[in-house]
Amino acid sequence: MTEKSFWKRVTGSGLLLPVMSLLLVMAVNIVFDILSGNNPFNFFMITLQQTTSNGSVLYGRIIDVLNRGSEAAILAIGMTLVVSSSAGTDISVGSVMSLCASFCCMLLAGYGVSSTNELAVPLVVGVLGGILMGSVCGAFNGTLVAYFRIQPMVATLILYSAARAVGLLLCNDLIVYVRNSSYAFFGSFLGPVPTPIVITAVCVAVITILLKKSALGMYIQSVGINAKASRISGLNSRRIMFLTYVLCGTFAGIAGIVASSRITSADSNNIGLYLEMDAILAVALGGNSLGGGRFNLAGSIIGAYTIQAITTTLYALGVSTTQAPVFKAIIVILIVAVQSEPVRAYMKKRRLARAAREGGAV
Amino acid sequence: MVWDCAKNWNTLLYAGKRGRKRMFLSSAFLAALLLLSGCGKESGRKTGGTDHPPKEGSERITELSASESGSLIREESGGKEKPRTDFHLNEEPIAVNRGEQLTIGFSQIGAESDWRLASSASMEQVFTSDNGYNLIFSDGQQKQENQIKAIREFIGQDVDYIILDPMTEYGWDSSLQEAKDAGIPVIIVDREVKVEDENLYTVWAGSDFRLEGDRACAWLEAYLETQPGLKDSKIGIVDVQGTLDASAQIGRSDALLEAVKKHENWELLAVECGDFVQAKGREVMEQMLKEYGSRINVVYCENDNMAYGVLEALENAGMKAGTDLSSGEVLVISFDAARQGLEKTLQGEIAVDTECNPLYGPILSRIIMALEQGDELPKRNYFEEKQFSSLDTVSEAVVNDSSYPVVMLTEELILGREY
Repeated sequence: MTEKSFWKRVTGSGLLLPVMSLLLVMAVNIVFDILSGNNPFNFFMITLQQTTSNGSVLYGRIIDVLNRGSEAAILAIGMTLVVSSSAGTDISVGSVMSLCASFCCMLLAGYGVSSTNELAVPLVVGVLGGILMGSVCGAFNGTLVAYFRIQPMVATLILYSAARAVGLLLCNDLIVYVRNSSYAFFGSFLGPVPTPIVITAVCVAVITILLKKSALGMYIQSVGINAKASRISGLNSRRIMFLTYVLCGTFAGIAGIVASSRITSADSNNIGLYLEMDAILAVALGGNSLGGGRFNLAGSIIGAYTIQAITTTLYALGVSTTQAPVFKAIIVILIVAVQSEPVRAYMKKRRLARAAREGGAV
Repeated sequence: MVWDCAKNWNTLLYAGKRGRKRMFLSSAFLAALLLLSGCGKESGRKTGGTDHPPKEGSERITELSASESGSLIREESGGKEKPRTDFHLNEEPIAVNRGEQLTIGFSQIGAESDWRLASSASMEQVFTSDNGYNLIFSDGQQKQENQIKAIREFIGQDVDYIILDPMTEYGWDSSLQEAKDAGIPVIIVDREVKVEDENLYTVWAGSDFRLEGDRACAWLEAYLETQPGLKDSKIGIVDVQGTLDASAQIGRSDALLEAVKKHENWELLAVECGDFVQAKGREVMEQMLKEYGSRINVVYCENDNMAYGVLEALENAGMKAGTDLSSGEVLVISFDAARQGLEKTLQGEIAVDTECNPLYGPILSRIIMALEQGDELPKRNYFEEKQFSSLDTVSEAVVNDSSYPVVMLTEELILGREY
């Protein structure tokens, strides 16, 4: 692959396929709604709904997709950076989410308390503590990967299996309930908009500014493409790799707080369960290579929402929860296959052939 | 602002002595943080114990062990409960072991809900060394393989009895066979096991989930009959199921299916699985609301935790949970009767909450003492359970010609309960 075609591919149609996949999934809903005689755009309807405790809130399936997909989207940001810099995945994010949630709830409720209405420490302390715990986990992973040069999957396997157990220890093996309405904020509504959507937007905005306005984004990619060359040209490759893991852990912390706030408790066994797989899948669906290097953050986030859109669509179609994973798998196979190198090469060849034919006719 | 920030990043990311020093500082900061979090845990341990639920337990047990008599568990054929005046769960007498200390291995599913925590606490309160028992508690973390491991460990430790609250119904044959070969009686509690040979375990004790479901449906039937105009109009029902294939899910779902078949005007709109957890319960309810909206009149929710999620979803959809179906309120039926569930029942958000008694420690102690004395016990032993509502329109639920009283909920009643 030459440098030129690489650039061309990214600038030309890097986001095209991920966006197409997302639209395709949503189009299924239009077809379904037409077939069942509803308004064809039922899926896309957003209305203001009056509620007793949150005032009027946005209501609709699209809102559901954005809201429910928040955790995966936040994780996908960090995962994209990790994949890019180290050509490996952080499989601990789901467990780290659960650990951060447990730590946050433990701080808020006090150690050994299983249910509380009063906060033991100010809300900010608990939440920041939970997010910092994520950074600490990220730093641990980053140290192993960047400085001890352990394979990312092996290095993160440690926290993948241990973090949930640590979370349970912190919570004294209990599910800690923080029954205080202020803690529920991160999982409920900010004005009419679900807070998780706002949090995701803020995360995306902050990381975009960081990547675009500083050279960080370029550094990460350059380390991912060739760590040695980057080192020779004066970049501290290891530190950059370390930093991506810290960022990934921090985002896992944020996602953990959101997930825990939704249920105002720390359910260590269920929070973030299998979500690391969704995050990795989101990166792949976004058209990013899991081999590291060049990345496309927007693609990953679209990928995360595509996964959620599939789930929500399957609910809308009335597929039973037991069978849903099968359909999900089929759709994912299709999307990944369409984006794969051989299929793209074939499409390109056909395009070129057609162009040549038309050119020849003139 | 942003630019300054960005510049700092750039310098930080270049290799250099200055940067390295900062690096060191930041890692020292992280290490300090780790230490801090560790300290926080230690100091928390000292103060945190005060609110712990099992604190009163030991006192209560000594009190109760004085009155050791009392009937054993209600047997299968039963079903004729007389209305009772006191509704404290802790009235169940505990059988104290006066002989040599018995070692009991207890494999618990996990700590996924208030209900589960209450059952673990009940076991720990009853099987104390003061009562003549040595309890080895093993938390399965909601994984069957952990429980199978626990059983093997119990066999290795040569315990006197194994108590198993199984995560799933299937897959226990070989581990139970090992226990049988080792000559250790196994008592299955709460959920059931499906094994080729029923003799692999000694007895089963637990809730009659089917009866719970039947009672909830009977309550709904009785309630609808009291509402003029609703008796024959269409009633849209959705079922938020528990973890599929769990005994509680099977019993409760089957009861609803049967009831829907029996009533022509009851329409089962959708059945979705909420895994017995709040977050999932809310998610599936949100989806069903979008699909069926105001066609949903009744939510049959198979435990309290999911009911909290369902109530949130209803509220965010601008719908009201209550019992006035004709004005568009949605009637929520729930199970377990945990404290928060009962509070919601008292507020009228949950119309009827059918109990699933988690305090099985006392009952198990009586089973074990009966087995020690060589008594013949029925294979299946059911707990006595109650049904709570804050409505006085329905005073009894009739299932298979047996009448079960519906308890009117009060504030004191909730406060008097253990969980």
